[in-house]
Amino acid sequence: MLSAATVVTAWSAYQATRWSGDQAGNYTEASATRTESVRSSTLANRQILIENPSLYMKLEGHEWPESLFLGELVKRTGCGLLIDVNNVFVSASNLGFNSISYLDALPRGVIGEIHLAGHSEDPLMGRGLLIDSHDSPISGEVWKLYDWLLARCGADRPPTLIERDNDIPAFGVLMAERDKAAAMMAGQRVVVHA
Amino acid sequence: MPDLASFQRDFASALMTDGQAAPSFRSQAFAVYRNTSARGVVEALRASFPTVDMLVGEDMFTQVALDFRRDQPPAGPVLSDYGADFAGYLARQPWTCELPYLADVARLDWLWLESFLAPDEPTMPRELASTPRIALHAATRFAWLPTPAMTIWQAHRDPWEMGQLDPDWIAEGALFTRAGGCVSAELIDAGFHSLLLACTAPAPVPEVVAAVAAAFPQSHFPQLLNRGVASGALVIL
Repeated sequence: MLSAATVVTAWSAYQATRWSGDQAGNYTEASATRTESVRSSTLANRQILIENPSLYMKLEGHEWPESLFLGELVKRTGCGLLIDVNNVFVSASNLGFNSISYLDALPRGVIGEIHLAGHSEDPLMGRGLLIDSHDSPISGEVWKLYDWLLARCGADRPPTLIERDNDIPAFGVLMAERDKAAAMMAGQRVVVHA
Repeated sequence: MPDLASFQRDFASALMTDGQAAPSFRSQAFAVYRNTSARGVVEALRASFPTVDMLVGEDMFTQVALDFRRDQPPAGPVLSDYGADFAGYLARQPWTCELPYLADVARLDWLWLESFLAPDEPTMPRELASTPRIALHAATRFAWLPTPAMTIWQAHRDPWEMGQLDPDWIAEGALFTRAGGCVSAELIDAGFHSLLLACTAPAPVPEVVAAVAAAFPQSHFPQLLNRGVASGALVIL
């Protein structure tokens, strides 16, 4: 897994590795237990949100799909989730799973924040390998997933953060993305151009 | 399937080797992890050593940072701690003989960062002990450098100074202090440096006076001490 960019260290601390936060984890009973114990020893009394990472290759040894693993963490630790919709799309595209099924398998009422971002295609692999690059506008597919996820959240809509780290466009372009997200959060249907 | 720990070890070592790793880590997809890891380290170093970046240029800095990463991979996940030996590494590279001030500038970038990230002084009642001691403030960092690196450093940190940069080739002292969240940098002379050095471990006033007088008999101690306390570099315990 890459840069699980968890809001906090619960997931990454036990893999406090020497490669600057990148992660190779697997979704197993052992991982869940270790994460649980780290959480309870270091972050007691504070709710944390755990973010889904972008995945680029299939790793062996998982006992659960990621969404069920996250659900298991929620159940065991009382943490919330930070769902990065772009990461869901990138992982689903790279690994060949269905984004909607993934989102629909998450527990309800536990998403504390949503992230949106743009991705890019690998120069060699094209659409066969999408990269969570935060350097382009949010894609039409990701807007659709966001809209779907908001509908699933019902009245309890978590705050949304748009991530843009590279190739920053004019301020007005960023604000237009913000306005679009705000309108969707407010429940106004927006025509999405894919 | 290997156990998680050995899998993670293999994964981590594959991040550091370009294509030499196990077959499963040789894919284009794995390159994304490798690039992201390398980029994270390079950009962390660039953020910690902005003056070095300005001096050598973006492309050169990237290459040097990648070489440094191969030489000394991060020892922990906190990247603001990474690069403690970057200045020493630069000094050991043959090519830096053409930029003899570069390693010193890196050292100054690091001292600035240390001062910036240092813990606050504990707030305590200002009741002086019967034999007062002088100590460094927790955020005080200083150095004596064989090159005019501080003049060069300051000129790059303050763009208004850039046009006038024409340093004499002399040794220089540098002092970083922090008030609130703001780090101040100043050029210091050898006398003031000897005072700071004498206070590296909290010391009674007479001891500090003797140390400074031995090193710089001509110096005016009350003036030096006044300057040390006024700048926030020293505290009286």
